[in-house]
Amino acid sequence: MQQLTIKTRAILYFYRTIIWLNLLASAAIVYWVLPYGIHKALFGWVWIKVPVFGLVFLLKYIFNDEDYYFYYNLRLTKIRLWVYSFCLDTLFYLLIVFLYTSFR
Amino acid sequence: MNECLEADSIILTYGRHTVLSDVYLKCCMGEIIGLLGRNGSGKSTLLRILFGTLQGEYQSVRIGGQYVYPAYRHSGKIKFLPQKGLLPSYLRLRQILPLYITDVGKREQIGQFPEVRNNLDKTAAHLSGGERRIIETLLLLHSDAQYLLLDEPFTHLSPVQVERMLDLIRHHASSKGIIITDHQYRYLLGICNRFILLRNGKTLHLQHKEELVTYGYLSEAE
Repeated sequence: MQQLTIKTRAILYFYRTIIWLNLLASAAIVYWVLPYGIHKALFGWVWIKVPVFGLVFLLKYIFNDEDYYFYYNLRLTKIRLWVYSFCLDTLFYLLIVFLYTSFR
Repeated sequence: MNECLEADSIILTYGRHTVLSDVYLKCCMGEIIGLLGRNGSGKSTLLRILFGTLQGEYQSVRIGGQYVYPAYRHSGKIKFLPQKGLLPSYLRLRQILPLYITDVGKREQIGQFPEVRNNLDKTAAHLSGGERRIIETLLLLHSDAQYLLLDEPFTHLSPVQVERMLDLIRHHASSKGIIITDHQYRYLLGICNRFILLRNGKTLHLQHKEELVTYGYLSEAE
């Protein structure tokens, strides 16, 4: 349980470093795409969110190798960090879409 | 039973260049092993293979006789201090401590060190090179890992700071197995139980300090 808490916290810290560009992409979708219908949320996810996340992934994955040792020591692999971050990012996106439809 | 970290049959080549070819290494709990070698001899590479973040053509890494590859994913038994630094520049020390040191008592203990106490709210980016290296080493020494791989832990440290770190490493070695590499070999002479010299991709297990001269690591004058 303690290990799980540590890993969760470490993943959140890692995700925090890439959150801003991803939030910006979500905000862009809410502003420009969602007014044309909620079904466009999937369109925005495929054509904006995934490419932006992919770009961030490529830049950080390739050019920022040494940082990962901090996480390796916590038994977190690079791939796991990115997969969990992607899941978190998708969750946040769904939350933003949900909030948009609820308070529109 | 005294558990040991053991590695053999490590082969690593880059194109036609053989980096590691005939490596045998054993480190038991309570031991400090000094890994020596010239620049580019493959010390850091070997440590990365032991840790599991670099894969050779072949490697056998075992802890307590059990095959563990990649070792870093096995129950937190092994931790690595890389040459280029460990701490991410965006996290405050206050956030890092609970991730590496789960025991509250040990966390209070590490909080006694001025480098830690005075910098709790600073990120690694705001620490000096020496402070950063001391904190990184302290984190690993106080962690619950059984084996530590320390790649040049004395970089950026003044002689007085090195003396302090040597005392600490010696103190913590009673409950850990430590493999340490550093170009300041004189510092290592005082704390290591055994020395391994990496030469032409092979490990040479040294019996006497004088063999460092015999194998060309030191000149006669030194």
